[in-house]
Amino acid sequence: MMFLYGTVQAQERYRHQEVPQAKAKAVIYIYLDGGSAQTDTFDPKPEAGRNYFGKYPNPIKTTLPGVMFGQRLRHLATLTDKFSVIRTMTNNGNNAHETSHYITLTGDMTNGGIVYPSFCSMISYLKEEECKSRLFPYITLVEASTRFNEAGFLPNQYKPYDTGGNPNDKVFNVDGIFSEKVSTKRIAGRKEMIDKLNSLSEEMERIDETDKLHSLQNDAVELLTGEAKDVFNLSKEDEKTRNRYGRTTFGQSCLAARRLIQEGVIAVCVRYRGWDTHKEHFARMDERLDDLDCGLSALIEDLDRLGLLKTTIIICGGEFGRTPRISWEPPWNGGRGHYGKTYSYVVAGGGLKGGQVIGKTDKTGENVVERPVYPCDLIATVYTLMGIDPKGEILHPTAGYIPLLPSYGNPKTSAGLLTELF
Amino acid sequence: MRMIMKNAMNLKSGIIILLLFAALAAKAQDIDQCVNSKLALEGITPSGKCSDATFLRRTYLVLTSAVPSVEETKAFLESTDANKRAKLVSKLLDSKGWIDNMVLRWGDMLRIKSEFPSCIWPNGVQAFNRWLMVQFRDNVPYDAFVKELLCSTGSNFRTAPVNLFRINTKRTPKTFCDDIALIFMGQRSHPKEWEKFFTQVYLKGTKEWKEEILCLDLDKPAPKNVYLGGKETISCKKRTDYRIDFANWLTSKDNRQFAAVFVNRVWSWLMGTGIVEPVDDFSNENLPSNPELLDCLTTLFISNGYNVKELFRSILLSETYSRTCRTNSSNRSDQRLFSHYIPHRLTGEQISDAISSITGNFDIFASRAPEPFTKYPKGTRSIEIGDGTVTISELEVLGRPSRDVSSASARARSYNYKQVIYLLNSDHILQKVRKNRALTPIIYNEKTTKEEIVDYLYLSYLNRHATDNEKKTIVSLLPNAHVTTICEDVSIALLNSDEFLFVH
Repeated sequence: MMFLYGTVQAQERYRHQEVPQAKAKAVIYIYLDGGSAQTDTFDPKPEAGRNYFGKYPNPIKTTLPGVMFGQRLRHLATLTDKFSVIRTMTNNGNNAHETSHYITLTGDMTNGGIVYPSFCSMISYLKEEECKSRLFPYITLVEASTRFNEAGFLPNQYKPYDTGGNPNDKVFNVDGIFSEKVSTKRIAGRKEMIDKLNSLSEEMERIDETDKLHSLQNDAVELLTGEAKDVFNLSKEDEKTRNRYGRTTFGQSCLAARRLIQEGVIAVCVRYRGWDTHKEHFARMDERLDDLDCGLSALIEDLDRLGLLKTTIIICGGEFGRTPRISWEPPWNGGRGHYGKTYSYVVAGGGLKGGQVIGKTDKTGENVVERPVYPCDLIATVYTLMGIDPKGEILHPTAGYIPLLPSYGNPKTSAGLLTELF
Repeated sequence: MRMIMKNAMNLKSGIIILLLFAALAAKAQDIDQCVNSKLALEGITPSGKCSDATFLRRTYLVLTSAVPSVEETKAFLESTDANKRAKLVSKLLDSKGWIDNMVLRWGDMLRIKSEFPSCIWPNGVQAFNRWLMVQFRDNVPYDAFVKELLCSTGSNFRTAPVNLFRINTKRTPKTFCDDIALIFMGQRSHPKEWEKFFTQVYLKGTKEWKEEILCLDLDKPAPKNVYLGGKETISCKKRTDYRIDFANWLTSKDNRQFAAVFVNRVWSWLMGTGIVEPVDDFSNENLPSNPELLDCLTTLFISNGYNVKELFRSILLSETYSRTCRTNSSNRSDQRLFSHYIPHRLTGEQISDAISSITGNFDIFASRAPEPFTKYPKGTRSIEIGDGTVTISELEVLGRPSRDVSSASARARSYNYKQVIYLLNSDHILQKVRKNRALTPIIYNEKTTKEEIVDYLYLSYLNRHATDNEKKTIVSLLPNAHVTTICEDVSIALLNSDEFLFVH
């Protein structure tokens, strides 16, 4: 049973039966933190009455016959051949942020006592060797989750790198990597001094651990004085492109995500906060939906133009949806609560078909009528596209090999891969 | 008559104290003997004693996770007291820093955090931390500590130890025993029979948000003729708390592995590596590097009534602990037999706290669950947070465990790429270094030479004076530089040096 965790060789990290042929090389997760309203976005219900559609009575036609989107998603409505919509995501009605957040990111609905890593952390762990970037396999823009530590039982280094800063500022300050405060010349000078200090010290001698550290320090200085870090320098993009994504933190995060994928990063999560609209929902939705429409459509179009959409999976959605029936009364004043029974997701790229609508909800958007999709089904689909066997097993630090996706395949928590899109 | 009595009493207590010191010295000697005879057998010559400066820094870090201040460093280096090392050990073992550090280590093992997936909730987190604090403040014997942890009933907000049964989202006899096996017996699995003693435990909600009462269902069948190890089988009396019989077996003197796992943990905390390594994998495939040494420590600990502080003290006063990490030709390749001190990396909290205390700039920590957010008092050190959910980016990058697993592997032994980049070039660190308040009076004193500034920075970051060669070389690397530039560049270089980044 003895092994030094974290130094586990890639081939021992998980065992599997069939490795699916990888179609995708990377994944971008647009995480609508707090939970977005399905009825205002991808599953409008104009016939359900004002208590359901609220301020948005006029959904718009899309380029797909018979398919309507919420009235503010104008760009996305013209791009439907490039992506598909899942209208029947469900976590069996779990409406607590923390629990749903964990379920959404890990797919784990077993309550089995093991804390799983998020699927993006898992991908960065299993596909680490395929990461060509000089940066890190998994990066979050611009902040990591405050509710759940994504590494789970994996070593801490598989947490995402949290950029901090704001890509919509004049300089996107990424702590540790990209800032204008210290010149590259000075960084190189400091490195020289570190080496000098080490060589003068009589307290310590070279050991394996210090050799490892020095080699990492050399790599780090190469990164910090080289060009790879310019991936965060959004001023390298022309104005037209920047404007197309929208001059918002979210829009520019989507642009930064595209640049990171071009750089060879495997997993990027754009954490888009502010969707938890219990109160005065509609007052906040106009701007937010416009920004989402602008940023997401730009990202899909741009990746497609660059030929990267084929190999990059995009998924977009939150930890749950929002209650279709509106609370007009104070203190909510037109708010929507948490709703895990059914909600919408967007998926695109990575070999998935566009132009499809999966699942059907009832007249009010409150219940699944056809084809539920559970979080683990979506994750299993992502794994399959990335060449990871969703039925594989992963090595846990103390429990031995355990299922990669414990809820997958259980009829209460899983309804199968999204083969409709293959 | 009374006077005579009193004198006799004094004499008696004097003798007791003398005996106590002799006993302690004997313990440290026993340890050294076990280490040295093994080394002799392998033909390894051990390294000599480390310098006072190294002893000071090492002991501060392993006991309190903090680095000493410049004043403490100077006082220790200048002191001519022959017993100053032993006195330092006593001072630190009686400090709040030691208690905080023990609470942190147990918090890691017990996965103390307020938010999902472990959901002790802030109220329970505070109660649990406070209880741990009292245990170490009062130096409660280890066997009694574990018994209380295993056998309490009541509200998780009021009877803190019951939280041991709440740290898992799935609460079954199997998950309880998984935790108990790993934490107290260093085993990754447990015999099925253990579970029979935990069938009574269940948790009942109250009207208070997230409060739960640990109750016992006394009607569950009593374990009969269960063999757990040792000489006899155990049968519980019906309608009693069956956990008590289990805890009595677990903590009994005959169950030496219980004591061995703890002494091995303490050894690894102080020496950087365990006699059994990983420390939570006691199995036939993973034997101790020096079985006699582990046995000797186990016997000392048991015969001393599971006295935690005394266990620390006997290791800290040993020759083995005070060896330098510098090797000779015969012990260079030794990594497991303790012929020299093995440098080990600072934890994320240690690095972060050291930079905060050296520069006088502390981070603000806040609990984000539940609303309204609660801010920790200004000047709180990261090791005092006590909650895996409360964090800042720096601690996440530098490798503070998320407290989602109890195993020692949650703390990496090596630095990783992200951490190295962060330490070299983080704005967060740079701002602290630039606003180093302790340096202000030194920089603005015109009489201060550049060499003196370098020396002061060495005392701050490395807890030793700079050698003449170091002073001269560093000043020559920055010709014509302004003092503030020297302070900034030398500070950043020092905190990226091997000597800073390793306990050595």
